[in-house]
This record gives sequence, C-alpha cells and structure tokens, in this order.
Amino acid sequence: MLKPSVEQIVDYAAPSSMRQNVELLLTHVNKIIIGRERPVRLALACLLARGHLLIEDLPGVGKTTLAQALAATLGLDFVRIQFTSDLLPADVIGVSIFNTQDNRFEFHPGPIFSQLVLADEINRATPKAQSALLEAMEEKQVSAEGKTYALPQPFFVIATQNPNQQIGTFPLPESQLDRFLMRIDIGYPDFEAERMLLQGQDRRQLLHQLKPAIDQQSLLLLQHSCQQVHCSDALTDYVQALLQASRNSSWLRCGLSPRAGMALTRAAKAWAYMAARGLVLPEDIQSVAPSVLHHRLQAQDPQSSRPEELVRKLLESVPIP
Amino acid sequence: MSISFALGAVRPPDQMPDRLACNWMLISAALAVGFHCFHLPVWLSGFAACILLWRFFIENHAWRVPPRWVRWFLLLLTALLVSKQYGTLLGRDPGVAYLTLLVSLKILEIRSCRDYLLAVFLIYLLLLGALLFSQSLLTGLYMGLLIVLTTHTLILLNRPQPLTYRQSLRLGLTLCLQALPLLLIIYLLFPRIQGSLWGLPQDAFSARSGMSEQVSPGSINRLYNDDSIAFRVTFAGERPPQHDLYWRAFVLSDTDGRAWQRHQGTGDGRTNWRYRAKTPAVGYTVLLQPHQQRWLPALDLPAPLQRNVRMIEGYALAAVTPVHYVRRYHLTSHLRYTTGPLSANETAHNIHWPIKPSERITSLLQEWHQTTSSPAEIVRQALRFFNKQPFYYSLTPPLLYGDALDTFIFDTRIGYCEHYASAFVALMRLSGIPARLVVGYQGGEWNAAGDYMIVRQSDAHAWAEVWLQGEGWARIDPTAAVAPERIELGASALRQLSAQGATIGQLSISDAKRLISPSWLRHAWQHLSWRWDAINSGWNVWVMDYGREAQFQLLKKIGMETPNWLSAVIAMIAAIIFSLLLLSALWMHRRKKQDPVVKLYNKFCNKLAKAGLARAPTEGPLDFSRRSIQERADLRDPVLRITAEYIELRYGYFSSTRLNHFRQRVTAFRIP
Repeated sequence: MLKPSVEQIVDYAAPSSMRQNVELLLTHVNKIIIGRERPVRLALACLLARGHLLIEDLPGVGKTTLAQALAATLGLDFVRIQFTSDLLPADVIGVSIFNTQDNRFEFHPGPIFSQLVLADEINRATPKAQSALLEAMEEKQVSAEGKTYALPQPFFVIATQNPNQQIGTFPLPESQLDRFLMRIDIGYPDFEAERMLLQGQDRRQLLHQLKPAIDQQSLLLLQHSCQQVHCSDALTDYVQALLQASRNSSWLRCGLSPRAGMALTRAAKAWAYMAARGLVLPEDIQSVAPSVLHHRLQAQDPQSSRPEELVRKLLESVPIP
Repeated sequence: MSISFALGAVRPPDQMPDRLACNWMLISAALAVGFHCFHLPVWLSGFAACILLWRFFIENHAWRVPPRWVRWFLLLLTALLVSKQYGTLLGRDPGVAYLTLLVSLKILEIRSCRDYLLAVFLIYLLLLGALLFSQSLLTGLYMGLLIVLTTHTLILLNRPQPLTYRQSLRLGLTLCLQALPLLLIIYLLFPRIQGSLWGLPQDAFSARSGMSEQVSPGSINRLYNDDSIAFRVTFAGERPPQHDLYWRAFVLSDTDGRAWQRHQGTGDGRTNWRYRAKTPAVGYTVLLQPHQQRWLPALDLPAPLQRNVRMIEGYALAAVTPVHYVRRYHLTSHLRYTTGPLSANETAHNIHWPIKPSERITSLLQEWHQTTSSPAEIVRQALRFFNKQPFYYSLTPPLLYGDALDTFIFDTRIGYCEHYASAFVALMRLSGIPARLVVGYQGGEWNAAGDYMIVRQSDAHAWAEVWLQGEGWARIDPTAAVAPERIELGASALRQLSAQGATIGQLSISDAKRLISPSWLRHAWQHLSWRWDAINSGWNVWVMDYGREAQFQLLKKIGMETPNWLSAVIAMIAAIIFSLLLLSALWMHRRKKQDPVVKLYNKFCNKLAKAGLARAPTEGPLDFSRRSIQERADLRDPVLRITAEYIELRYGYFSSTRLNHFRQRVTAFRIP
C-alpha cells in the first residue's frame, strides 16, 4: 500500500510539470557540485525568488563553479567580472566612446549587461567599484552619462567573496549587503563526495557539456509561480514576530528592516515552491532564515557571537504563533 | 478602539484646534445651555445664545475676540442682571443662571488651546447643574447624549491629526460605554450621606406641590386641571373596585365655618390606632412623587406601619420629614372596618360649628329631626336631599359670599366635591352628629401596560366621615349622591363629559360611558402613554427611590452585617478594583483568544505530549509530524492526516467544513 506523505495530502502542490522543472534544475547543478545539496537548493531558491546571491567562503570550495553551473543550467548568458582593487565603475557599467565617423559619443555597454553576472571576489574591489553594482542590483537598470539603460531580463548577480578577515579586502557596505536576498556558504564536501570529485572528470569540462535544463520562458514562469505561493495571515504573524523580536532584543545592534521581512517571505515562498508546496509553512521560514538573515544581523558585541548563531538564537527565541 | 488609542498622541499644547473641533464645542455648549432654558428666564437663555453666536462668528468668519474692557463690562452686566432677576446670586436658580452666563462668556474669550479644554470641562459642569432641576428619565437620556457629544468634542480638541467627526463620535460613545460599569458601581455604593451638606438649597423645593394641608373653597379645584402624577400604586393581590379607592391623605376637623384645617389642639388623645377589620387586608406599594409635605396617601384604612411613618389624626399617615424625593412604601389596608367608641372630648370637637346657622338651615334640620331621631337615618336624609334637590356638579361654580353654607345649599347649588363634603359635614355637625372632612384622592387610572394604578393630581377629592354608634367612623361621600360619574368613572371622565357639554349628574353611568368611549386613535395613544409611564415608574422605583435604606439593604445582601457609610466606601473601592481586574483579565483573554484551529491543534499536541512527544514552541507542524512518525511509526497515518489538515486550515485557506473534519479527527485521535 502506498503510504501518504504530507506533501501528497496537501492540495496546494505546484503543477507537476513545474515540479519536474525544479527537479531537473537541481539534478543538473548537483552533477557539477557534488555532495552540497543544501547550498545548491538555496542558491536556486534565491534565483527563483528573483534575488541576488552572495556566496561567501574560502577559495577553492566551488563558488565560481556553482555560479557557472547555475548559469549554464538556466541557459542564461553569463559574464564574470573579476573584482580587483583597481577595478573602476566604468569597467562594470560600460563607457561612452567618441565615434569619429558619426561625430558623437556612443555608449559601449559593460559586462553588467548580461543575464547572470558573477561578481567574483567582490570584496577585493574598492567601495567605489562596489557601488557601481548598487543601482543595477536594485533597479535592474544602469545610468551612465545622464541616460538610463535597462538591463536584460532575467537579471541576477551572484557575488562571491572571501571571508573578510583575509588581507586586502574591503567589507561590503551594509546598504549593499541588504540588496542580496541570500548569503550562503558552500562548505567542504563530505568524505564520499570529495572522493567522487577527486576521481571524477574535470569540472570545467563537465560545465562545457552541461546543457540548459529549461528555456527562459519557463524560467520566467517559474519565478512568477513562486510568488503565487499562498502566504497566510498566520505565517505573516510569524514573520512579524521574528522582526519584532529582533527589534526588541538586547543582543542585536539593530532590528531587522521591513525589507528583511519581505526578503524572508519571498525566499520562503520560493523554498515552499521548490518543495512542491503551494503554501508557506513556518518550516520554510526557518529553512531560509539562516541565509536570508545572516548578513542582516549584527551582534551588539561582534566578538562574542557569529552571525549564524545570531540567526539560530533569534529563531529559538520566537515561538511559532 | 481602545482607551490607549484615545489617550495616544495628544495635540501639542501650542497648536490651535481645527474649525471642526471648535464648532462641535459650540454645538455642545449650545445644547447644554438649551438644557437649562426650560427653567431659566427667556431673556437669560437668549443672552447666552447671543454670546455663543458671537463666538460662532469669531470661529468661522474671522471676527475678533472683544477687547478686555468689553469682556469686563459683559461680566459685570451679567452679575447685575442675574441679581436683579433673582434678588440674589445665591441659591439654586440664580447660581445656575449665573453659571450658564459665565460659561458662555468664557467661551467667548477663548484664546488658547488650554481655554478650549477648560470650556469643555465647564460644559460638563453645566450639564451637572441640570440635575438640580430634574432627575427624570428623559433628563437622564438627554444628559447621556450630551455627555457623549461633549466627550466627542474633547477628543476632537485633543487629536493632533484630523479625525472625522464620525470616528470621534464613535470613540466618544465607546469611552462613555466603557465608563458605564464604573458609574453603576459608584451609583450603587457611593455613601449616601443625608444632611444639609449634600442637600439641595432650600429654593429647590419651592416648586409646585400637590395638596396643601389646609382646605378652603377652591384649593382642590385648582388641581383639577393638573395632570401630573401624584403617586402610583401596585397592588399585591386583586385590585379593589374603583368606587372603593379612597386614598386618604389627611383629615380636617378644625374649621372657622369656611376654611378647614388639621386639628391644631392637643390631638384627639389617641395613641392606639386600632380598628376591627371586616374584610381581608389589601396589600399595596405606593410610589409617591415628591410634594414637599409630610402626608402620605393610603387606602382607607391603613394598618400600622413601617419605619419613618407616623399615624396622625384620623388614621392619616405622615412622614417624619417632608417628602422631597420619590418615596416608596408598602402598606396594607382594610376597606370595611369598625372603629371604636369616641371620647367625650372627641365628640365635642367633631360636632363643633363656629357659626350660627341661618333660619333656612335650622328649619331644614328641624324637618329632618321630626321624621327620625336616628343619626343613620339623618345621614340618609341628607344624602337624599342632595340627590333629589337640583344640585349640580361643576368645576366652575359661582363664588360664595356671606353665609357660604346657606347660599350654597339653597341658592347656588352648584359645586364640586369640596363644597358637597364640607356642606355635608356642616349639616351633620349642626344635627349633633360627629363629622369631619377627609381630603385625598379618589380612584385613579389603571395602567394596563404596567399593572399599576396612576393617581394624578386631578384625582384629588374631598369626602366626609361621620361617627355612628356601633359603626364608628363611616365614610360618606355626598359627591356620589350628586355626581355618581365622579366616583364610578373618575375625574378625567368628568372633565371629558363637561367638555362635551353634558350636564353632570343627569346621565346614567352607561350613557356617560358611551359618551366618553375613546376612539381607536385615542385608545392607541393611551396605550402608548401608559407604556411610557410604566417605563418612568420603573425609573422611579429602580433609580430615584434608591436611597440610603436601599443601599444598606444591598450591603446586607452582599454579606455586611451592620452596614454604614464606611462599609459602603470599602465595598465601592473593592468593587472598582475587582471590576478593573476583571476588565483587564477579559482584555488579556481577548488578546490571547486563539482561533479554533490552533486550539484543536494544541489539543492534538497535548495528546502526543502525554505519550512523550512534546512539540517545541519553535517546531513547525511538518517537522513535528516527521519527528513524531520517527518515534511512533504506528501513529503515522493519523498524525499525517491531522498535520495535513492543520496546515491547510492554518496556512492555506480556511473553510468551516474542513474545520469540522479537523475537529472530528482531533477528537477521535487516541494514542494506544
């Protein structure tokens, strides 16, 4: 006898074709990034929720590979900008060059005019260059020399950064951090996965072989469907309780912003959708909260506790209403 | 809306209120002044209205506030006018009149936000002043309305952001309703101290009253057109017939041949007011309107007695203090009775007639004495005389002069109860039969809507009592011999009959009844007015009559052995604290009030908790179900189903059918 699972009983499941798409995307990326299913899932949820992603980890754990794998699987045109300390805003946005034939300035779009931008080692660039990304990320448009240029749709920024303690880094300003929907770390693979990685094919070759799993229309549809996931009053109560708790707490420097609340809900919707559920549960909030809130919380005393612990402490202090 | 909303952001003190608030302030001021215009002289209400109108132009048409000397002039002028009108500035009427004018003047000179607030509190004070004049139900309702309006004005004046008048009215009403329990507690338990400190100034009691304790021709007549209520009566058992309803107020036996008054001598020496009853007692409760005198009406003859009531001459009842407030008392009476023998002193007093009778009267009396010597027979003769001779009943009799008795009996022969009763008593006394005059009320109107009797001032009546051997004092009503309609149909019927031009005393009772039978419209109107009177009577019983005695009885009921004012204060404070606690508990409960889905889910969780599977407060339903299933695989099916239904109801869309399923499932859930 087939025993029912909760997911099967609840009616609010997404249409099966959609669910297949999500599964397909996950298997594709997991072929490249072996043994790190949760970060992959979070990264995909972030993109489905139309958010920008910040990956923070040590060099060599596969940050860039993850970004490339996502780009390839989603069939997006992909560009990588290596952020260095001498990077200028024009290197990101583009530059106007005088055309002698037409006798006028012509705007040459920079690398940011792509669907998926990988801002590699973003904290190595100066704040000036970092802020060039700012408008693009929030407004999905670029202003240069008095003109506004729309960015392609969909538009994602995946930024990677090394832990801030390393030498030669400029910590991202808080305003810019807030623009990333999620901040994830990848972490080391487990023993078995690492063995497969070592024994298997070269990742770069595999990436070249990777075919897009869905077309762009399906991707836009997926993003749209994610936002249709039902978020009940009871759940909003929970989100608000979390926000209130962060604002009333003594161990946080400042409370969460309304944008953080919206980000939490948005990410939880995508997370629920990926679990093939048509409604958001408190568990979804709890699953995405570490990634969504990690870079938005600051301890009163930064030496005492790490951001991961702050999120855990916050979640543990708020009962589900 | 809650109190915290009302007390929330308050307007900064330097910011002037908007025009809406100012105009509402003027409206409540005008209504409060209007409340007083019923008892203030017209010129005074007009003066106050003009000042308010002036302010209206200042608010709305940018007129200027009058300069200081004008305001001083107005202040002195009002003081002068009020003292000119009343002769003094002290006492209730001049005090309230002066207060009304001062409040209007204060409103005229408003300059700052603080002045506006002050004006509102003065309006409250002015409203309070209305209670000095009337405490009826209508006054209470009107006052309640005005308090809500004034509170609403206060809210408008205080709010920094503009609030529509509807929102503010609603908030004002809510606040007033929230204050109701407190009002009830204070009304019931605030110590009711009796004494001059709490009393009204003396001029508050100078108003019109009912009967005076001295009767001269015309003193009852003036009450005939007075439809105000004298008292209301509820009978414990069956209502006695209309012609037996003689409400004794007081007995008059001293006379100068024209005016009658109560016996001024040493009294008739009786302390023992006993009589032998011939019929069973009638129990009833009288709700007496204040008449500023001591007499208390009672049905013939009342049996003694309750506290604070004395029996005075002729079985009449009197209160210890004048009746200034609505008063309620229980009595039993007997309608047929025999009083004992008369002392020589009493006999002498009751046959005394100070004027020498005229020749015509002497010969009439001789004529009666020739036929019989029995007093009872003479009484019958006299009644027959009134009945057979052309005597007429009229509310507008010609004036009597000279020998009033002689003129009335032989010449004018037109009069009403007082004439007949006093003439009858005079004839009896001249015949040597002890007789006296009884004044009170006869009959009354049965209020079918409230099952009680309304006795009005217009039911005032006078009749005679003669003392007969073997019977004692017997009630004789000569008016019944002249105009039986008065007794059978009541005073109001009599008025209607004379309004229709019928000659009273000439119609049979059934004809008279037909003549005054009400049209359906009048009938309906009568029913409405009865119902309204029943409501008023309830107000009098439950609100007006609630005094010290009733308060002490209430305190006894809640377990205080010997209530005094201190225990009332303690009870009041305790009740206030208790009700505040109760209110806050209710409020907390309401805040915590869970929706039924959560309640049922908690029930389910509690059942699992008993089996050792407690849900952490931060554990989501899905995580909890997974953990439960891991621990107890046997519960997999019900746990999954209940969790799925809970998720749908709480995080999906609610439906009552689903809720019912959910409830059944949770109720049926058992852990083996």
